[in-house]
Amino acid sequence: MPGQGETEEDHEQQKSKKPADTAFKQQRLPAWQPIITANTALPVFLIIGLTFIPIGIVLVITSERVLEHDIDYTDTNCMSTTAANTTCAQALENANYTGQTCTCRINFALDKSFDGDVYFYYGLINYYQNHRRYVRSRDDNQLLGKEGAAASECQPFQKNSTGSGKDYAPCGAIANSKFNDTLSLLYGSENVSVTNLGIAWSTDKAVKFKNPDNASNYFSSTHDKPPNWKLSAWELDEPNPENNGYQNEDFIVWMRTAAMPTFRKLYRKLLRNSTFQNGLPKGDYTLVVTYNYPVTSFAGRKQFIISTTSWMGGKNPFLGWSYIAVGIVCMITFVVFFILHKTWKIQNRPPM
Amino acid sequence: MGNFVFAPLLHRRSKLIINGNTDETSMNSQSSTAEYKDYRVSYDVTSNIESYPWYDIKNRKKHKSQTNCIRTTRYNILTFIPKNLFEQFHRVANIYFAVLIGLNWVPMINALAKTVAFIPLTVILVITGVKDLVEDLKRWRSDAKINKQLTEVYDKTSRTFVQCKWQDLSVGSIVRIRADQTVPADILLLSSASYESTCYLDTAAIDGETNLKQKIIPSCFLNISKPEETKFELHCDQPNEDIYHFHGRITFSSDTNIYPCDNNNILLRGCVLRITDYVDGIIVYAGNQTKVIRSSKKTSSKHSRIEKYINRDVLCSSVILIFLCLLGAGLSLRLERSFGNKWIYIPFILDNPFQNAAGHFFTSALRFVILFQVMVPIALYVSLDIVRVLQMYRIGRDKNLKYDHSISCHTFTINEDLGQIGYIFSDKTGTLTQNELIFRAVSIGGVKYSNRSELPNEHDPLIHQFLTALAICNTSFMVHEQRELMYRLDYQPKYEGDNADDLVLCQAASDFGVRMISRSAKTIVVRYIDSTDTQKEDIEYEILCLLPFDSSRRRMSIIVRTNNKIYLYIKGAETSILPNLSDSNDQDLKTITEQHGMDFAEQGYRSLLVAYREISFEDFENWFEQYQNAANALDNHEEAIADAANRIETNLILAGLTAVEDKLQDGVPKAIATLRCAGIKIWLLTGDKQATALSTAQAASLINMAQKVHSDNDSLSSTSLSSSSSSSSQNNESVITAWDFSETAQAHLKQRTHMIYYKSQLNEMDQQSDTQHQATIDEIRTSETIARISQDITVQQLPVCLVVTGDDLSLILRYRPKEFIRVAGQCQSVILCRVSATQKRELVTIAKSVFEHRILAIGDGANDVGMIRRSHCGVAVRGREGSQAVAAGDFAVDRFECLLNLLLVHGAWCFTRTSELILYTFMHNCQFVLVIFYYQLFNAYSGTACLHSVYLVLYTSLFTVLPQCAAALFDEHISAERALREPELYQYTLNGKSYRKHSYWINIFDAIWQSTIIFFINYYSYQHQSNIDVLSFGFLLTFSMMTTSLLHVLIQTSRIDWSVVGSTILSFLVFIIFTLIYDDVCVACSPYENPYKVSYRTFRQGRFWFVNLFILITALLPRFTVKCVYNTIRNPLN
Repeated sequence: MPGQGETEEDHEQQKSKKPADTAFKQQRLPAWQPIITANTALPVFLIIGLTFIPIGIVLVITSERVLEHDIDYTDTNCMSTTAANTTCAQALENANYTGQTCTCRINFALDKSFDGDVYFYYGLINYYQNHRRYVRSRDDNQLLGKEGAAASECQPFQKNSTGSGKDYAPCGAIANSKFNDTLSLLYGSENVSVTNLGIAWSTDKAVKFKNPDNASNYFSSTHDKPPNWKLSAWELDEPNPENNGYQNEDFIVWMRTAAMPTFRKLYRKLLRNSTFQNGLPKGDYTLVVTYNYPVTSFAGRKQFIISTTSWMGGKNPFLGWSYIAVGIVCMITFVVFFILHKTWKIQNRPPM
Repeated sequence: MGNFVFAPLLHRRSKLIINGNTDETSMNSQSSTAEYKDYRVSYDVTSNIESYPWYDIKNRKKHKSQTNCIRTTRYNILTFIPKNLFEQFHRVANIYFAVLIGLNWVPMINALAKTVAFIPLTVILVITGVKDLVEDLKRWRSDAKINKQLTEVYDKTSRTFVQCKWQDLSVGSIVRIRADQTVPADILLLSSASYESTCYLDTAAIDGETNLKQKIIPSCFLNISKPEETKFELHCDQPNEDIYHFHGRITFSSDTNIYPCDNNNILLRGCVLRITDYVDGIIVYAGNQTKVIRSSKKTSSKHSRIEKYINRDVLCSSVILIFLCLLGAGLSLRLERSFGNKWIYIPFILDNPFQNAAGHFFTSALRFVILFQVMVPIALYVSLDIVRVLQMYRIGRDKNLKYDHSISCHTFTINEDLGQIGYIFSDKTGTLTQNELIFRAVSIGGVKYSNRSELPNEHDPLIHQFLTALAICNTSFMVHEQRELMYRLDYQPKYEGDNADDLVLCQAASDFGVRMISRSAKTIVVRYIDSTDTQKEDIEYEILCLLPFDSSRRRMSIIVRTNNKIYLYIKGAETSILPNLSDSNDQDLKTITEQHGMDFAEQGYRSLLVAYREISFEDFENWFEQYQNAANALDNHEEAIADAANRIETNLILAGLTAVEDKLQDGVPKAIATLRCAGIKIWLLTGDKQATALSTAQAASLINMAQKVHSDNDSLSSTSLSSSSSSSSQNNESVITAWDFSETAQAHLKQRTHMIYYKSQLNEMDQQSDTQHQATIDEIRTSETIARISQDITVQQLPVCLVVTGDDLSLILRYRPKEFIRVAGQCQSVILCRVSATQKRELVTIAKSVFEHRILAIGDGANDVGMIRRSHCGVAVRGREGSQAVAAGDFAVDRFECLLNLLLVHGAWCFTRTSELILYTFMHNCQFVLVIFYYQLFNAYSGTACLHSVYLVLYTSLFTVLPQCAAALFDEHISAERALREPELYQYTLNGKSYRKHSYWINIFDAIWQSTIIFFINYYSYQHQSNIDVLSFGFLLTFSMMTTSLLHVLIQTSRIDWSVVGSTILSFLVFIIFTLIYDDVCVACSPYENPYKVSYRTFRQGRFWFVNLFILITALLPRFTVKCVYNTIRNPLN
């Protein structure tokens, strides 16, 4: 800092004049008094500019390398295979959402081969899974398999109050509204081999979700299935008891409520065998949808998403471009300040 | 057997008459006739009742008489919790928190986890409660210790004095106090072991004065050898806190005469008896009613100016809060209703939005209030309290403020005001000067003498009278009287007393050969030594009456009889005596003496005029009767006595003049020069006369009168105003240039001061017109004069000093106080001479309402107490005038010089520090609230916070509060050396540049920017790949807010040291460690928000780190840039 040296000298002078000033030393601890002026700020802008632009470029490239294919199957894309000229959405609505099932087939083509690990997501749009009332309507203790009545937070899906009076298992609005479309993919006529394991957080499956003892009895007789469910929790994946009941990974994924009204949830992972050794080859595919989940009442959309991944996660160029933009702004600021500084010779009086 | 009666007859307590079987009738008859109010203490040894102390204990239980047991504790075991909670809930902050917690329990509103919401309030209550408990325990222990001290009480059964605890004494008991024992209650002296019927007291515990005080037995007890065996009654004032005044009347059952007693007969609780073997006295006030304990109950609540700003900005924040809540509630209702009757099929809408719309709106608005509660940073008041105490603690440890003692602080709420002082009202004596008086000269009969050798050899009656006056017209006394030495010629007693002038003059008289060698309540023996030092003549004076000094009379006199002649000796300020001189005085002598007075004053000496008169017996008898009546009056006692005194203090014969020097304290000139450079206007208020005040002001570099300029050509001088530079002193410039200041400061100091003398010619017209008319003239003249001065000041380029004397001031205060203060406020300095204590207080009171800046009053004596109490910031100088000022002051320092560091360094620091803390708190809380608000846009305005409750509650308190508090204690916007070297930098805080009206809005805009960056960068970075869940997103936001806020503090502080860095790191570690533990432990802590392993997974993502790096830099970039531009192109002083 300019002037710092002088101050030190003055300090020395004062000290010799007035002995009480030595006490200053005793209160003094190492300190740095950075005064942000053009002098100190210039290098800062330069450094930010010089680092942000390359980081941005790397991020954008990384994001561009991720391949993604989205299929919206909410309405017109998904025509009922049973009723003519009816979308599955209409079919459900016509049945007043009373458990009608509808099937549709959607053909699409992948222009590029999706190499490496491929992930399949279902996406919901305009779906407020983060609504305050909704997000609390669960009982984590119940999901841990603990005995005891369902928590009051589960209201109005705490127990079957109009019928048997038993607690719902699982209770609460989140569980009740579990996504129950079935999505499967055909490569030509070959089933794309997928797995429903490893899609949830391993910690959730290992610790947060536990089936109670004597689970089959628990789910079938002492508790009721949630009103919207077609099957009880113990029928979610009967062949695989590790993936059944509360520990069903589709269920666990659903229970991790999404933060945003537009969200996607991991549905399946590609099993990389034979044809799909290197991922999804390019070509024609058919998406077979068992359409159970109504979203049109709140203008929601449903999507099926195929995506590869990178070290930065999925495709998202936003962050990269932001880096580049701020980097450029900093460089411009640097240049402007530099010119101003050189032309005006700003005085070096230490300000406060 | 004894019996006492204690009965305050006023109010409903009149039934408390205790055992008045013998006295009741007399008392009742008395009370109906007497104008003497209400409080009486009766003593009767003859009535036959049980012995003390049984009697007393029983009575205490029955009648709750006033015992001597003191209780200063606020709570007992049972009342502690309820009472303490009750007191704590007097704070708005606590009520606000409690209401919000209560609302949160309503299931419909419930925004936070119910139990977590309790944490902050509970912590605050517990900490404050423990603090109060500890303080109360301390008080309880000290009470117990005091109450258990032993003393001797007169036992009426055995008719001897027996030992007894303080707490068992009560009003009406007779106690015996031995040498070096402490007086247990306020007692009226009845008898003394000393043959002079006096006793000596050490009053250090009460007023801090170290010299001994003399107390005398009331005249009516002088001839009673065993007062404890008589029967009498005392009527006196109700218990009060005035430790300097007491009036009472004593009546004996045996005769009808009424005898007065006053403060000279009272020993106050806490004094220590010295020299005298023992004294007996009756307890007048006991326990909590004693004067000392009452006067120690100080009720001072000063608020710093910054709190006004806070309140203003809290109001703005409240408006923003209400706006956000209503907006959120409205949008929430609209969105949920937009689905129409299909809501029943929508999984995330659980309640019917069409049912009870108003209730829905209301509950969701209240929910937002809970969620956004920190928008109104009520907790700021709590953190401010803590920070201020710690700031004060740091100031107290500054070694630059320490001379004999370090600075002590009694008020912890006005630290910031020290940085905003625009005016200093300073006392002169003892504050600027050392109050160590040195005798310089006398002027007798128009001749100056500075020591004895200059006196003429032949006997001169005037010199004789003059020296006699000096020797006896005082309140000094001698302690170590060694009677066997008294007959030696060179016997030199050591004088003691509470008036420094008296002591110096008494000693001077002694040096001049007129030596007071013995003094009792009734007689004074003066030894006259002739000029050859060989012969002595002892003359005894009988004291007939002593009219004491007080600050409105400004003179004292004593009436003595010797050789069948009665003399009155008087000494006092010139103005108070000159009008009372007899016409027979030689006019030339008067003129010469006045001239000498001017000479002395110009040298900075304080002078007193001495005069005397002889009084005929008849005159004295007549007058004394009037005086007796006045002395016995309980109403307006002082005025009555002053009136009586005025009647006898006339026709005086001028004797001469004394000159006493009071040196300036070290460092005062430099301190004043520096304060002037800092832009602080200094008002000097002194009891001295104008010339003395001016010469002190010149020496103290308050004014700079370069050369003699005569005012003859000044057009204004012919009117009621004269303008001139009066007599100069030689060395003014050389003194100033020696100091090491910046150039601007030097230049400022070199400017000559333009003097304006406020002068009115009203006195001469006094006799001519009737009072009604006079008042109008006075009023018009006053306003005219003020208008002229005002004009003169506005045209003047040079710094202006206004000089006003007390007489003019009283007119000004009567007619045009505000106008005058407004005009005088423009002057660089104002010198007010001949000012009384009340005028000082009034000036400060009016100035407070007029001036925009804060006012500091500094003084050392009892006459400054009013001024110190009334000012925004009262500083007491620990001096020789006792501890009254120290007790009243907000700060107590050893020297005037301390103001330099206190204001320019610590005051400026405190102001900037606190304003930074306040602005940061507003900004930081607003940023937090906005982030949560933005999230409402994406969750159907439903009130999901996305941070879990623990973060919500702890974020603004535990996690982020530390670094800013550290900065509020350790930040230095300029170094101490620079603050003193460039005092003009004080303008920065004086004008509140670090906390201006728009500062709040600048910070709110910064908060909007930061919160926008934090929320939307996170949102859009994760939106596309939006399989992120609520709790993970909440953690992302919390982490970004944490890092941004912590780094923000580092950018905002001007000095980065270990405390800021350390507390930043500590805060961050607390946050991280808490998160990691909570996220590992909480599998099912609450039914719905368990962030199990959330942070662990988030840390493993590359995206997380890049997002945070970006946010950190982008969020702080605008502030950084603006600071850089501001610092580069603008001088912060402008």
